[in-house]
Amino acid sequence: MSTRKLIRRGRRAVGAVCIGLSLALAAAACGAGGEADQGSAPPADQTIVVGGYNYKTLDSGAASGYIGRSVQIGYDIFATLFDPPATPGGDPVPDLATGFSYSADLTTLTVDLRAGVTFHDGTPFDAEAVAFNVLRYRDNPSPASQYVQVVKDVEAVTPTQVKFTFKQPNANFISIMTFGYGAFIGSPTAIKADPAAYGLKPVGAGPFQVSSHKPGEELVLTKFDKFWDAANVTLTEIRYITTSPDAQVAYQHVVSGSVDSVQVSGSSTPPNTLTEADKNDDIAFIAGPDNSYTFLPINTYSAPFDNIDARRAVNYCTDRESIAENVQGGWANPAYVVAGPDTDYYPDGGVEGAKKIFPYPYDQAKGKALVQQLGGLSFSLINIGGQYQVVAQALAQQWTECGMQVEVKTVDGPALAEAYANGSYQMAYAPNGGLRDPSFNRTFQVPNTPQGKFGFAREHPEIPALIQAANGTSDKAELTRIWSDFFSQVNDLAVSIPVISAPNYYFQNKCLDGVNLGLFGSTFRTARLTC
Amino acid sequence: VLRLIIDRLLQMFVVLLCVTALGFGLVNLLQGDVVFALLGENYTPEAAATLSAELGLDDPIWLRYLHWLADAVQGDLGTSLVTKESVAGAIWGALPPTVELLIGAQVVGLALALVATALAVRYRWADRFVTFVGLVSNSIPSFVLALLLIIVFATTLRVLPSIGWADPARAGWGENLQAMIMPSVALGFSIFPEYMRVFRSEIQEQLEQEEYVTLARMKGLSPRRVLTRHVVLNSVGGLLTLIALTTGFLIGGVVIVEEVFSIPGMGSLVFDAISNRDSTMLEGALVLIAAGVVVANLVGELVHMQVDPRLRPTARAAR
Repeated sequence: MSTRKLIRRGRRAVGAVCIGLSLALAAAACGAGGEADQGSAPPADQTIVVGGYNYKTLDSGAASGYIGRSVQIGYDIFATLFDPPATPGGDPVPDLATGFSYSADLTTLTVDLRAGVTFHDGTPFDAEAVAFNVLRYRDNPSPASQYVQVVKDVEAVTPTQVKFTFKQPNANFISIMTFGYGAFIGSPTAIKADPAAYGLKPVGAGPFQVSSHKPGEELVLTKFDKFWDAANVTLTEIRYITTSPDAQVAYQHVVSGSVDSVQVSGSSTPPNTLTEADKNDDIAFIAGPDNSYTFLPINTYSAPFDNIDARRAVNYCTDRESIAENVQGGWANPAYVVAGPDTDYYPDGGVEGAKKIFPYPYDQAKGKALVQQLGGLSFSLINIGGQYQVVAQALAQQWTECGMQVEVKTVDGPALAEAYANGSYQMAYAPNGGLRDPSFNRTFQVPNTPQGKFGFAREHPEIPALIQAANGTSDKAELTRIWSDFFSQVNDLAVSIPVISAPNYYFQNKCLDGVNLGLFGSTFRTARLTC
Repeated sequence: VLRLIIDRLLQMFVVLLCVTALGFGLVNLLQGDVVFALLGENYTPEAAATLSAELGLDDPIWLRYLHWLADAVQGDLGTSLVTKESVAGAIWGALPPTVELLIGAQVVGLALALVATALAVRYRWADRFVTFVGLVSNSIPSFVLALLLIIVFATTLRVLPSIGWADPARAGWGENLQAMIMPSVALGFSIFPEYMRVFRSEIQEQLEQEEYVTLARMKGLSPRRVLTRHVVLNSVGGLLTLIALTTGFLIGGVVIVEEVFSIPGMGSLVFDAISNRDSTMLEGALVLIAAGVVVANLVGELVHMQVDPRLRPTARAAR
């Protein structure tokens, strides 16, 4: 009957589809099999794929759109005058420059540039180019601008010597020429020709040049053969692709061999993903330096946190160790100062040392008493979601046990920026830091918050002077004293409440060696594929 | 038929107007506008004022929409507020991965539906089993399925790449198709139960209720001929309409699947445009998506008419 025939046809259809799918999978298997093979000899093809983000502009001198994650790529495109000291407290390592000298009163800095260096477009990298870039950063609003405001003038003494004159004594400027944002020197010819195009395809003098950039899709860097140290650059191509911000997805990309390197933040990654990566011998799982921290930006310009007792109550009721251990699975440290333990001038004794000098140790009784004294404490806590929401909820639970009423809300990036700017928030949970030198963390607040705008001016009029004092000396003992004073004073009035600190973690192809993790993130100038 | 096409194109014009006006309004009413998105933590009132003037944001929303509309009607979709790249260029670049993903998902959805229907008709246990699989398919979020597929086929078996897009110009079509298998399955799996249900019920309905089937049998046509020449053809019509309707639904799923598999397609483009409050980019993408959905429905309708003469305007008029 008809049904039987129908069945027969159905069988054939099933068979055909099954065979088709099998063939497709078999073909796929044949095609992909090579990915899993790891021979012992270094491969001739030194191309890597890096999971990344959607970079809107790579020009730190652009008025808008530059994100902190672009800085690490900048090191590979531009290189810098000096590289970071090999050891904490050491001297900067010459790169595009060969040496420097400060005047005795620290008001001028003379830098000797490496001769014969060219930008990717063939134009010369010289003193005029350095002066052009620094003055561009200084005179136009951009993320780099704040770092070079101290510059009064820049003079090209000779093509290979440039002299900076400062508005105030500044021993820190050599670090600014070493670390990010203001340190990147681009081709003046390319910048003048088309600033918007330069943002997408910047022209530097670094080890890699931008081959193509499709925002939202991929950024391809290829080795610049005329780089002054090209002989020591092994990778031939770095392909940054936009990957999901979800850490588990990023991890799976690396385990599958589709991506060679992905960076995730220890404070915003679910701990189970980090634990899984740590146990997986098929990939390299690496921790960078612990320089970043999360904190609670508080609006001290409106109720209830215009009252210091409300801020003290929050501090007493925050069990940082529990957050670091139970919520972040031990992949983060409790933060008792606005810095990570690998930050220069961190309090002696590491995290335990910082805990000892923290003025508000975890003490629910004291917190409850303050809440009662205030007649109750009710506020909202905003965050940008994901793991930040998880930690925010854990914090809210801790505070609820002290009698506070907390509403936790997730907002996206632009909404958070607006809330900061118009002061419509009461408290937020956010990350900060990232560099070893604390003086780069400028206001120790989100810049566009009320505190950020005024640099702690209302609660801490002494802070700007402390930061200036730190900029004005290179004496290590004096710097240690100044920063110790700074950390204590910031904690004192609880304007900026630290919560946890954590390094960036890297999921990497085991064959990828020599990646520099000490800057803002991974850079690949010295990296190579070994198998 | 021509009148139908003209009707639909007129409808499309109204739909485009509504969708773009709604999109423009919503993206501008969200908390945190493009100025906050671009300046982020470096926001200052001075920088905001400069950027607003530069981006032409000082005019009221309705006026900005009309300006955009006037340019769009002349074929100029403008430039991205965020990256400054041409919106048309960005869409042109994002379109191939999404079109390929949609086609792949439809192929997977149809293949699974056909297999499931064939099994369900043949075996009673299979009927229950595919119904169960259909329920699972409806219940499992695309994100979870995508991640499971990556863990099984990319991480454990290592037979497929976890990145779902390989530019054929760079990597070749073999690698491109290979990369697209998992995303297509992740997306296609969500639509197959609906296809299966419609196809199965259509076939059964035709076999059991339609007079032409009885007539064909009485005329002595073999059951196979009745099924293939008449029943399947008449049943496929409903499926074709469903395919057209499902295209709009799939575009919603595309956002998630593209993100998991790092596919630089329209879903990612729309998601980024909303995240960055990039209204010109969003408007350009919405125009294309809305037009695509309307055209897909129109094509589905025309094909359905071609397959089933009863639906043709002339047949309707005769009735």
